[in-house]
Amino acid sequence: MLDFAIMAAALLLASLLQSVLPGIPFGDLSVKIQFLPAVALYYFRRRPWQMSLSAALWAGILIDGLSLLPFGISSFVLFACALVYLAARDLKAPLPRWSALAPGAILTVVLGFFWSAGLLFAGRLPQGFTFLGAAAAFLKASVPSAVAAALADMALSGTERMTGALEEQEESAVI
Amino acid sequence: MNKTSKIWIFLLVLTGILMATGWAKGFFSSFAPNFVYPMENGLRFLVRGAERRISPFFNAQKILARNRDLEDEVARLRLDAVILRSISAENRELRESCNLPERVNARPVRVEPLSYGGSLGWWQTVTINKGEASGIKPGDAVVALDGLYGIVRKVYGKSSLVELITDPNMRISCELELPRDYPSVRGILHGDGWKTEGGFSFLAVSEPLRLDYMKRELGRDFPLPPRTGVVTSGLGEKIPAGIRVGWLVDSFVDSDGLYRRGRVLSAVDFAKPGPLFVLADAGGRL
Repeated sequence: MLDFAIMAAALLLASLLQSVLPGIPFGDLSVKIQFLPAVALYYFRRRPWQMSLSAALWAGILIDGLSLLPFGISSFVLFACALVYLAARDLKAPLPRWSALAPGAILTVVLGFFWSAGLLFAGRLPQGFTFLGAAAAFLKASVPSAVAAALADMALSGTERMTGALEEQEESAVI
Repeated sequence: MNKTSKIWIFLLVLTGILMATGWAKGFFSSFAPNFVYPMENGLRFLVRGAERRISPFFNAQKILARNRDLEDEVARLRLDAVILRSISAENRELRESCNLPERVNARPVRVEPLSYGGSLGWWQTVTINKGEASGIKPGDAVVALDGLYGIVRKVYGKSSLVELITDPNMRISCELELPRDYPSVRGILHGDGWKTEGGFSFLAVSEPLRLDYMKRELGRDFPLPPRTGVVTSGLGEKIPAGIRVGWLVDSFVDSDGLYRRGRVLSAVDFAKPGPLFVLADAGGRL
């Protein structure tokens, strides 16, 4: 299963980049560039629903496992974002280059909001945290995260075309 | 529906069921660090290897000078070790005769940092390259040569997540190193995070640590010596007592008027902490 191998490799590389690269500081907070949601966004935009939802769950598992977030919160939010995207997308519409910028930025801000809300309900907000500060920090981080989403989109679509996975999946997309 | 789609749906449903029921929560929680660890370790190996090959071209003289300094330091430390061996034996005999417990039974495990901040960057954490396989447990202290660096929060197979003492959520019981005729003074140390100069800056500086809940009379009835040392008290967590945390820079009565609060300059330079060790199987006093 070539597409499975490509997704696994993309998630692994995204995890590595997200954990190794430094965060972007803003006031008391620091937010990392969101590579894992960028990979998940590619599957929301271009691939069948079963791959999109799988990417959402697994990217969420990786995000929670590499941080002190309560287990399951990122998977839940990404899964919900995937459902919304799947309901709204049109697979036949062309996707120009860099069209992942805006969705990448929006996804980062949405994730930040739900992470904050989840930590608030779990009683585990970092000391000194404010929603306004977090919103500003995520807005600042949404710019490089949007670029990461666009680059992930181009890299993955190029890889899948080169390896033939995209043609395979296009034939099997219809259920 | 073709075979590939069925396999994807099966994997999706299986993952969803395992997550919803919590049966594989432990597996999923440790999956990410174990999945990423080989790559982080490999990257660290490549970066170190590249540094070793490139730096001699630019820093040959500095490396030679540093080599000489290190050789002198090793010679001095070897001499200290010989002297301390006899002192240690004498100390053990005296402790046995007074029925005192062993001074420290920590096993230092050398570790290297792999990455900082995890996947989110909200908490001040460091991933290190040793885990359960090396006998590390949650709550173990991580020390640099200069003092306390952090506490192990999560342990995986071959890596661990360490929370730094500069994290605003960190709470450690500490005490002041005071002359014998002073009463003992304890407080709760916590980090104050870091601050950037402006919204678009990419550099952040660690704020001084804070020591709260000290006796209010301190400083008034008992003047504090300048740069009073702050060490761990050994209460609560598994951190041994006596590990240097920093120096008390100043103190003032807090707004409630009940306690005294102080600012602590950390002993460790978090930008360049040097060699790190986890004090596994720790207890007692250093």
